[in-house]
Amino acid sequence: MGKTTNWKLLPSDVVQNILQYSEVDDVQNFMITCKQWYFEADYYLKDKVWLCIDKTDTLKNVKACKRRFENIKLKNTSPTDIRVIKALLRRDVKYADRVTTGFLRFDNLSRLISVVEEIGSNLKSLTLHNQSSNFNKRKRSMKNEVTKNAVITNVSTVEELRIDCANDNILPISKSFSNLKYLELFSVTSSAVLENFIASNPFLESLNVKFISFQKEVSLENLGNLKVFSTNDPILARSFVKQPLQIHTLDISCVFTDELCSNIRANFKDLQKLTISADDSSYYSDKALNDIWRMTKLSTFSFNGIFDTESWNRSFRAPVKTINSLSLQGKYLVEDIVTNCIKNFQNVTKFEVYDVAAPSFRYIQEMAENFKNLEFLGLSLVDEMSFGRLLKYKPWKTPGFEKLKELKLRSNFESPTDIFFKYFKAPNLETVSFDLSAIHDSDEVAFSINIRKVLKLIHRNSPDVEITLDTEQLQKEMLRMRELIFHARSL
Amino acid sequence: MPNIKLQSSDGEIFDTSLDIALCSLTIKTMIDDCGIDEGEDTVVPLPNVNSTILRKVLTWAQYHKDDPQPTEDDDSKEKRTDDISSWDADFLKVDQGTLFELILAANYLDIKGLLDVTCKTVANMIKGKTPEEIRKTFNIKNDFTPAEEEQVRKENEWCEEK
Repeated sequence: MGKTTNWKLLPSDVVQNILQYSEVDDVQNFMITCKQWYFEADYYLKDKVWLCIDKTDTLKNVKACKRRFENIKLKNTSPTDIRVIKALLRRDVKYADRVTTGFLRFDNLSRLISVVEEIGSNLKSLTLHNQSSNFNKRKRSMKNEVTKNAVITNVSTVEELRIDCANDNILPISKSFSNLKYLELFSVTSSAVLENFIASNPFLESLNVKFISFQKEVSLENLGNLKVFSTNDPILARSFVKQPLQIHTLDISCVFTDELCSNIRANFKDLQKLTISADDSSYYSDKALNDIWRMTKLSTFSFNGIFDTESWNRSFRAPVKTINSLSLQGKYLVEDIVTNCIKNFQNVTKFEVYDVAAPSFRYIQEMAENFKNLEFLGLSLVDEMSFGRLLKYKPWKTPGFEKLKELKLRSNFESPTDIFFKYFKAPNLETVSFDLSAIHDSDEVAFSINIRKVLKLIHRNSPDVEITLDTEQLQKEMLRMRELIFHARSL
Repeated sequence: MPNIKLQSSDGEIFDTSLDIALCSLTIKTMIDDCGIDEGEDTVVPLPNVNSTILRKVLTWAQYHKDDPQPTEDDDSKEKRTDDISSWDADFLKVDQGTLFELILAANYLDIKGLLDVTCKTVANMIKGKTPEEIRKTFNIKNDFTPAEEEQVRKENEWCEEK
């Protein structure tokens, strides 16, 4: 070449390209190599890592730390933490766009808001947890502290807030924000907290309220900009559906009635995504479902619950054609509903049917014959031999699954599901994922043998398919599964 | 497909098929902007690429000319370094000077596929190495004082990958 190769002179965009293929540990070693690369790697890491503080007494070190972070995550914060946060926000106020705290006490929480306000940071997102275990012991002193610190005017920069409101002492904080667009509230014990947040944030676009412990209707005015609403509280859900709003996404996992459905249809004309999860005490009726089917902009509908078979009169009015994603979940799903859905929503791209008590394979023939554009299929594998027999005596053809790319299976793998995979062919299948949440109840040896057989069959039918195992609880099994998958791939 | 003439920095002319040359977005832009028509005997000058490297680039482009165009979805995919094809791996068994110049050429000519595979190769050269080993690999002089180096290490003590 005749020239000296000086790697330090690589253009910045090339270095960034190289770093994107490197693990964070490698990037950190890279940055210590020389000053030129330090700046490149520093820039690269800025939005790729959290500042993670999980030690106590870190104030000195935090002050010494010069790195700029866009994201700060504080774990297991100690009594000095408010000073840590203050140091962080003071030093790097421009870059601390997102702070996730560990378990701050209520008094600290209040003080944190004061700090954010005092420094006037550009903080955009805040997640606040409370340390409820120590709460009772400290209740009296905290109350005093909060009262003292209750003069909090406004934190106008924060647009996203996730907050655990496990006590009424959160009340002063509920008035501190005015520019929130995204709000998640958990363990709400006072209606005033919710009302304050809603009243002071006119630009709220997404509201998620979970685990309410008060029994009172809430005033829900001032929600004109809301697009997404989610709750698991029946009283709040009932209040919410009474007012016309231009929301496009609604997720209510609570008691469900015909009246509620009727209100949803009447008041949310722009609704595109609806998720309903009723508990064991509520039942779906055909009237409720037919109300939902007639919503003209609905594209995604997911429901989970038990159907009231007595009131089900088997009528199925012409559904809207806009639905392209349908998820049916429950216990003893009414067969008529499922088969009618399959016949009426032939153009769905995503279809899920999870019945914890009855085989969902029994619908596979209807799916194969009716679906035209299916790309995602979710099934529960609690089947016995019935579908296997069906396959055995009817040569399997799958026109309904020609476009299928993803198959999601919920299984305990106690049932002989390998029969299904022996015959199931989806020529464009790319991904198969398993939700193995029920595996704890299974015999490990039987499970292991069964999954081996199934993986072999999947790979025989679709050699390029990617398999994932969806469950957080099964770390050990995951590791073993990876070995098995590796084995299956090498077949 | 007609041919096009490319001139390297040391004056060598490469008569190559247009579809191969168009792997380079830089050349494509030059052709579009200058309004070069088919059949014209125009020479496209490439002053930043010498003949040795341009020959290698054209070899790579010839082999990959039928590859699908990268999409935006590709950018969101997991970034892996263990998916270099055996042909590319053999192609990149070159001395460090050539690899360095291939990267610069791929960057200048805006050939995403070549740039990605050369960057992956460099990332693999960094992987698992200590700073001292990286310096040795790339013949880089340490310009940090021990105190500065210690400071950089401390800065990153609490980094956690997102």
